[in-house]
Amino acid sequence: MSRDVPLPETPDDLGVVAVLVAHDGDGFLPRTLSALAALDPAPDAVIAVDTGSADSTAALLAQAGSVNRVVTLPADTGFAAAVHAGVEAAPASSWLWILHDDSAPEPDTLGALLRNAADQPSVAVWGPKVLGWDEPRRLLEVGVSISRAGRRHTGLEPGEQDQGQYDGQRDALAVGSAGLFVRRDLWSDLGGFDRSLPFFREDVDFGWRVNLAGHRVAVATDAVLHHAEAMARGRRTGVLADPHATDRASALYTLLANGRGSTVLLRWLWLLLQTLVRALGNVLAKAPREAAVEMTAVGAVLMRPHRLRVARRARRRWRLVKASSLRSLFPPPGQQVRHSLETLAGSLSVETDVAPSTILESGPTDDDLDAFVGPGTGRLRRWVRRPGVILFTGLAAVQLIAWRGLYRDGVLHGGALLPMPIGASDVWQAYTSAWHPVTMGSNTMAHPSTAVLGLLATLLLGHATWVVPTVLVLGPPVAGLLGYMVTGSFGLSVRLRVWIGAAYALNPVFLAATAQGRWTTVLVGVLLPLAAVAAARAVGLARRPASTRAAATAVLLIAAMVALAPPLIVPVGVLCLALALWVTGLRARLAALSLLLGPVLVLLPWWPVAAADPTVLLLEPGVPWVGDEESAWHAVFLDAGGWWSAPWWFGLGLVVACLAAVLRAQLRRPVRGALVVVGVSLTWALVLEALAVTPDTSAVPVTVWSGSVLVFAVAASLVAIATAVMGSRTRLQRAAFTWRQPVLAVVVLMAAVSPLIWAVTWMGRGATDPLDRGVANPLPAFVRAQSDLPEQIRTLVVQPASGRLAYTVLRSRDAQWGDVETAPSVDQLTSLDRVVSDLASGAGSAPVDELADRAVQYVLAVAPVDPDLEVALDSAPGLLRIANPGESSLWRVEQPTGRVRLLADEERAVLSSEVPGDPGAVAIDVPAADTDRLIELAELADDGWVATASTDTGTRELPTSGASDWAQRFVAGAAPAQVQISVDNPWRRVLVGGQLLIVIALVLIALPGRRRVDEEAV
Amino acid sequence: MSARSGHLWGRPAVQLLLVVLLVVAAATAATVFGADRSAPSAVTPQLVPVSETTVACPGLRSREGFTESAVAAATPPKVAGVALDASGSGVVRTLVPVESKEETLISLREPGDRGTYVGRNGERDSVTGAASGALAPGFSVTQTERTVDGQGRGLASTQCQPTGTDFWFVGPASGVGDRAVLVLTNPESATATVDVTFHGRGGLVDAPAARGIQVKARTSVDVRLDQVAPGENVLGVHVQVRVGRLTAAITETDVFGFEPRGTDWFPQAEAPATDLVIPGVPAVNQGRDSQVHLDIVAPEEAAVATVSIITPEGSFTPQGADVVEVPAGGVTTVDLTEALRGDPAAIVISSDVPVTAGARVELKNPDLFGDVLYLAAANAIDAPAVVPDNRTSADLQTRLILTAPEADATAVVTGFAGGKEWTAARVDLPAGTTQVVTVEPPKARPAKGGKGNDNKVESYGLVVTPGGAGPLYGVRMLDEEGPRGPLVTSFPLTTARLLAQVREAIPQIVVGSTG
Repeated sequence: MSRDVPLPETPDDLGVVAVLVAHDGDGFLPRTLSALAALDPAPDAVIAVDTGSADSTAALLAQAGSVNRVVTLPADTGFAAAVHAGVEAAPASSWLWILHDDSAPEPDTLGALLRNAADQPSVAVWGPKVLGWDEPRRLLEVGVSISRAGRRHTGLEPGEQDQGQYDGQRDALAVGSAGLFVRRDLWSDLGGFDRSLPFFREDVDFGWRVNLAGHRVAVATDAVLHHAEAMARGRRTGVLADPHATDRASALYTLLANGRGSTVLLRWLWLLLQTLVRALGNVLAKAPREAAVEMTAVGAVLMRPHRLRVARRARRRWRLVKASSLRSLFPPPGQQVRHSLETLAGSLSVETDVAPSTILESGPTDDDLDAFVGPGTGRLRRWVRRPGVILFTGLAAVQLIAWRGLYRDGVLHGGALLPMPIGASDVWQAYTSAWHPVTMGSNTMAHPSTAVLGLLATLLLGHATWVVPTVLVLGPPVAGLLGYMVTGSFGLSVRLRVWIGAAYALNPVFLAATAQGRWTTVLVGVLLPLAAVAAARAVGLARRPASTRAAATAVLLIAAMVALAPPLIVPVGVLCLALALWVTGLRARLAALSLLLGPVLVLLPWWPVAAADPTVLLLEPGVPWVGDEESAWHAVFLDAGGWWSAPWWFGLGLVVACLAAVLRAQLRRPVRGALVVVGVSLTWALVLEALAVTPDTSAVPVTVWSGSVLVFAVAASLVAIATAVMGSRTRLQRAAFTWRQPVLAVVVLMAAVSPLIWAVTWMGRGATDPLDRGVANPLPAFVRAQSDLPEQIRTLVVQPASGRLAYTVLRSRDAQWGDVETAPSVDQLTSLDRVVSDLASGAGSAPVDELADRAVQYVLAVAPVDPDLEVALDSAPGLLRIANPGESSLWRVEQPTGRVRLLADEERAVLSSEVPGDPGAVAIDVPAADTDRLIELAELADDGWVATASTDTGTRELPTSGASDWAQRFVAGAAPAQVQISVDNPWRRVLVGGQLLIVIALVLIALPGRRRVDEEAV
Repeated sequence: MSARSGHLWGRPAVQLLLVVLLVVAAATAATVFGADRSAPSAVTPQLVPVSETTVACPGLRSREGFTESAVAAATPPKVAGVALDASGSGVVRTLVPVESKEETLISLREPGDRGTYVGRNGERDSVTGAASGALAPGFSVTQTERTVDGQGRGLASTQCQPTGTDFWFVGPASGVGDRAVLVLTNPESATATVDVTFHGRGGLVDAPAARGIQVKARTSVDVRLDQVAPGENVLGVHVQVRVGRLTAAITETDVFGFEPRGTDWFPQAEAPATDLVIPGVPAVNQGRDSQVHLDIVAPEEAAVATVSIITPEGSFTPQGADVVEVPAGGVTTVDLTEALRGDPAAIVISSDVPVTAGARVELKNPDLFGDVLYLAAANAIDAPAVVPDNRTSADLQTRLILTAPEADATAVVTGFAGGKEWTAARVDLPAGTTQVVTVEPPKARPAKGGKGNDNKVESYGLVVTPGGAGPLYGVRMLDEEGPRGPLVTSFPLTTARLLAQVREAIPQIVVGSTG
């Protein structure tokens, strides 16, 4: 760096003046003063500045022999002002040495500084190597800099020890004000510390100015100073309301005052944005006060551009060097990101109490923790050999092989799974919508699992279609890994834990759930280990006091599980009540109860639905299974039935081992607890299996899927078996050889090889059937295209099924996930039942008009087409066969129809309506006529429908007409009007809003808090 | 074993036993007392009498010569043994375009009623029959043309059909002297579009003019086969309706030089299948110069078929008919004249790939004129068949030729007229036999009933009710031994639309695509 700046002539050596600034420093001063006294060489004069200390500082200073003069200032004096006052009071000198009351130099410090200054006259400002006060080997500073975001940057790792690694002379942007050693003439030229910076960053600002003025700032590492950093660490109370906020404000001021002129506006905007983000982060970290303080402090800088303009103008006088030439003195941009990540990782590992990391660290072997927090590059080999990693990789490989039939394009569907909506926004709309465009329309609240789906879809960048493949492929391996991790604190051997993980991930219930497309069950299985740990923490079972944060987490997780599988409400309720009775202490009891009441509260908007049709509490979302079902006792062997499930004897090994665990229940409490969970969930599963349920939306009884309840039983029995096995071997070896040893050996062997059998079967069978990927739509493309036109026509789809005629009415899309739960009740469709039945009978009197009334323009008989049905539809007057898409047959209703029609006497005019995003809303133009007309909306009548007519004379609400037994009708006058029809459900909006607030509150409680503890003091 | 406590219940083994008992008890209880877990059992659909029946006919066609013609309609007095106690109507009208005035030919008033309309010479409008209410079940309309002289000499009849979208005819020809006409009748209110495919001896016949034939609402269109697919001496005709619905029929008048060879309507042949039955080959008297030809069409792939004959004495495979090869898309004709001589019969065809088939019977006395009769692969009669008597002259003899190809079958033939019912015949058919039943008309009595019934022939209706273990096939034949030679016609007995299945409709979100 070429410096053609003329340095002042080396002055006559007028010696060194030390300025010691003190404020309420009696905790540190004695050591500082004795260090001053011990200095050799010592400064020529020591001027102490006491800013109105209330303690014994003044007395200490007065008594100190090494202090030549004490300047007393009022208590509200800033640090910069105090230094200035001290300098003014000082005799002439060549050098100034600035010290804090909590900074103790070593005896040789001044000597070292002077030696360096003599060696390198081009350096105008020197600083010492700053070490810790209580930890004398801890490095605090070897020069300081400032990051683009305003962070004070020392280039040191947190807690780094001084091993001489930074020794040697180093150029720096600035040095800390404690120990700052500056040529006095330069100090005077540059005006010293900026008085606009009352506390913090005055040193960085000064150093930056020195550098910009073409002088050098360097650290003399052979000069050592111990510094308590009392102000910055909050050890010094009462001076500043919030040192952090003041520091932020000073940092921003420094950046904006010294930064390059061309970019200052950009930087200003960037810092404003950053401040807002930080404030938001503080709010999330449950530190609203900090957020507010920071906002005000920072706002004071950013919102007062005049002050900045003055500061910049003052600096322009001394600026001699291009800002870009100082680039090497600033931290590289990537440094910030790395630093943030390291901080984040650190906070998760140390601070978090409940979230996944707790599970990571709960085990006795800390290597699991290392595996997931900041793996170093050199540890890669060790990392991949970890049991958890091997387990996950193996399980994922099994899944990928089993999934082989589904690596192709198309929509995932089949079994209980209907095609997913496309985007997360579609899911959220379905969740909040007051009207669902399912068959003839319904106002049923969406299933609560829709919200979970929406969350997952949002996390997956808005792709709702990614949710199911992700959950079904990765769910079991993740569940297995979690199973391995949460059992870390159970005192089990790694081998047993790997067995638990593998058996959990491959359990027959998961296999059946995957093959049947029941992603909700798999997701319940993934959440279960987390929820169990959170619940244990919440009631203080995990050798820690009961934690509110854990309770909030548990409530959220349990609510998600119940939302995904409502039948879980019963075992969850029973277990929570049992837990509440069993734990000791009021707080723990309340926490246990909150685990039941919390989820009930979270599912707020859904309770009206459950109250109207309690059978929904017994059913998981998805297409219900109406076929033959195995006997109820299969549930004991984890065979949940449905389209496909593993044969019942697959669960035999597990069940027998679980029974054997009863023998050990007396000895081990965890075994007993786990067996209680097994008992409760198996009992409920048996009850579910014994029930025949006919929900309002189904005309025939459907079979209940007890899979999610059985997942509870699986998890608990694995824990029971593993805990019981622990130590049995040595016990049995010691005991006399009887029938017990061989029998138990067989039992253990059966349980041990079960996961292997499951894995092999699963890989051989594959995940397909009924799960499939491909085209799921019965609607021909041109019909779908026509359905999107303003008439909004529909298609009646029929297929004979065991003597009945199953039918549905499709709008512009095929059936999709959520439609089953939001379908109108069977009772509301009886008139349509009759129409379809008559139409398909072929007895004549085909009610084609009634189809047109319901906006049905097409009739589709799905392949394989029943010949009788085909003949009947062929002979129905008013129906015209038009094409045979695939193997299906399609007829068109000859008369034109549409969703909105204008009825006047005999005339039925189809009105084109706008097709807005909202499935409920309609906008139509009603032409003029002689008489009153009826507007018929081909939707089930509902109180929520509102029609507003805008005419020349004004806007009015149209009265409804009760003339139809099912359709929504409005009476339109004779005048032409623009009519807006929409549906609203204010009560639902309130409930969903309330749910959102509850969830946000729980998330805020559950989030890890902000760190408030002094690092050095920890 | 330090875990043993003194108390019995504290022993682990006892606890285990208790737990096992509990689990078994719970599982048993859930299995025994739980709800029925089998799939919802198949519901038997409710059967109700049909309430509307609509049929259409090509209409009376005057032949070259003097033609007596008649349209006859009947509706049975009882449905499944029960007399319907409801009102209704049954009307046969001419089919005319919407603007024109239609003419009512027959009007039935009550179940068990029958009526005949005697046509005038030169008439050629298509007709439709529509019945509703109590008259709809089994409402049946037929038409007959009897031409005793001229080049169009012959007896022809056909039964009116409900509209459909897919028809097969086997046996018409488009060569010299074969005047075959395809009549497409569209009684619906929308234009129909039809594609006709022809299969000849050498495979598919290129007939671009037969594609995309438009048949306007309430009109009929005649397609002369010698114009669209000329020069074939036997054809398989496949009529496919692309848009809409209609009925199709083919009539053919054969001449040899100036000598009339006969005329008739082709019955619809069954859609291609691997097993076919062609009922109704009449007794061909010895000494006549008669012929029976079987035509087999293999629409898709080349077929190898076996033909057997069911006579009153039993069934046999004629020599040379055990392996009949049919080229892909083509027609093969088998001459069964020798094999069938003397016996009424049915022809049974079994093939390796789906085929359809028809038969042409030519009756001729050596020195007199002859007549033709067309047969086709038919469906079994699995419920009563209803046939209105459509004789145009008392000289015509009504016969039923019934066949039970697989197992024993019975048939009860009931006549009805003027509110009276009588059992005309009871037939027991042993497996693999054919029988001819001659139905005597009721004795002439004062006419009553149908409008237009003004001739001396006593009109009546027949109901053929099948029974027994096996399927029953049959045709209704009319024949006459005229002074200038025989006259003969027939059409297959088809199951009447008496009852319709009313299935319970249930809303279900997933229909067809998954599960």
